Amino acid sequence: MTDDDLTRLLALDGAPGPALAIDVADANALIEGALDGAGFGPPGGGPGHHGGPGHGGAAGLRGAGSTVRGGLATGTKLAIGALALAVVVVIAVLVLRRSHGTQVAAAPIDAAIDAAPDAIAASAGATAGSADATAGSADATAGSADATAGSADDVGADDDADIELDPEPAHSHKPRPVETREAVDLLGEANAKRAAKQWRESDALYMRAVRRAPHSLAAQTALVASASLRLEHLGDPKGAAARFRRALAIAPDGALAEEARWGLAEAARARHDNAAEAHALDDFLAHHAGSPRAAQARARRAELP
Amino acid sequence: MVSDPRITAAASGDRSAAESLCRELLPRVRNLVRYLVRGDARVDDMAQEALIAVLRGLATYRGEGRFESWVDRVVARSTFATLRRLRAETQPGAEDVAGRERDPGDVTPFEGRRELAAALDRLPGDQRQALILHFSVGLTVPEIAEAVAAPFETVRSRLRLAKAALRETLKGAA
Repeated sequence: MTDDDLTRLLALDGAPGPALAIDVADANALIEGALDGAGFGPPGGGPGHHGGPGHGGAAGLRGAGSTVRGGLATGTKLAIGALALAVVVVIAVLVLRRSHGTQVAAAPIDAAIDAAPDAIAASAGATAGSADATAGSADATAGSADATAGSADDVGADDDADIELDPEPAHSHKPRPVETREAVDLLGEANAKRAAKQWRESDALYMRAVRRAPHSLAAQTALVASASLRLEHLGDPKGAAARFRRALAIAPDGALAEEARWGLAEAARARHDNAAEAHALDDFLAHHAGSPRAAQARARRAELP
Repeated sequence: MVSDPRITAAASGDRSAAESLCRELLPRVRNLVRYLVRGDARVDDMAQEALIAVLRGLATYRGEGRFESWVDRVVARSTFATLRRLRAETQPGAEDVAGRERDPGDVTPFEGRRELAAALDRLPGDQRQALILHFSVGLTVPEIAEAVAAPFETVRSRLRLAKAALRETLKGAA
């Protein structure tokens, strides 16, 4: 084998191999994470790189979000805040169920965030119970949430344009334990970034956790958490909707299904897409008629054409 | 002079342009990362880190030389930095190969590259990196010496040993 042979054999190109094939959803998530990690603003948000208007990490993003915030109805703010808190409280319930074997209504939010990775590691692969018991407490504290919503630039875009659903059912992939552990570790890191208000860094870590164990409970949690960030802090309701959909696909009847369905309605509302919001609310009520949010959902649905 | 307008646009913060570049570069970046690291487990994470490095460095690309060559060098640097941070390479990828779907139309060239990567997996890390930097990225021996912070003669020795070992492995596999 000559040097020329080696040069030919080891030539770089975009053809398959030696890297394994990557599916479209994973490639999209990888690229999106890279764009976010490099400091690019949300899709449709205009230039935002290296000192641009939308760049600069949390401060810049929060600034961009605040321009939209003022135009939102109070109900939307409350609902988005409820969504974020409900995710946290669901995680807390998982923790406490593991510890005590009984249902507990709520736990201190900080403790819940810190404990979430352990809870998911313990319950990975298992189907969790209803989240109904947690939603009421989330609603009760929603008023204190710092909620923002997405840009109107996203109106009319396809929710699933940036993340395609995996056609394979969730149960067809049993993540290997090491992958789940890594995903859980990443989830913990993401939570820490989120607690430090480093929204983009947190979001990138959540999506990395999704890639590590794409069909696990950790992935579902990471997707819902990422979606909440997109909705509340990153001005990207389109991306939020895509993540909620993917989370729902992992476990349509799982612990976070209610959050995902509610999130879809909120993402549609943030985009001023009445038809999509009505559809999402109908779907929510069909699946979660007993939810503490059901009355709010019905009232909102009645306002829509 | 930068010929591709997407590069300039992305360097100025245009997300669409950056995304377009990433989509085009991703397969190449993943392949280079896989050549550089043992096993498949961390390829995508490292590829993402590398893409971030590329995107952040776009403003420094002056159009001297091919853009892909510049990207390769950034990817190699980023991958080495990640490896140093991890302080360990990943497990051999044999079980990963068995667990993934392949495109039947690409089986032969794909498998050839996988076998090549498996042969590289058996090389010591420093020899492997010298080989890839030379034959894939196109660096000269002095450039490799600078990139890996090793003496010229050491790099030349690593290259010689790597070529000999790879030839032996591939001959045995044939």
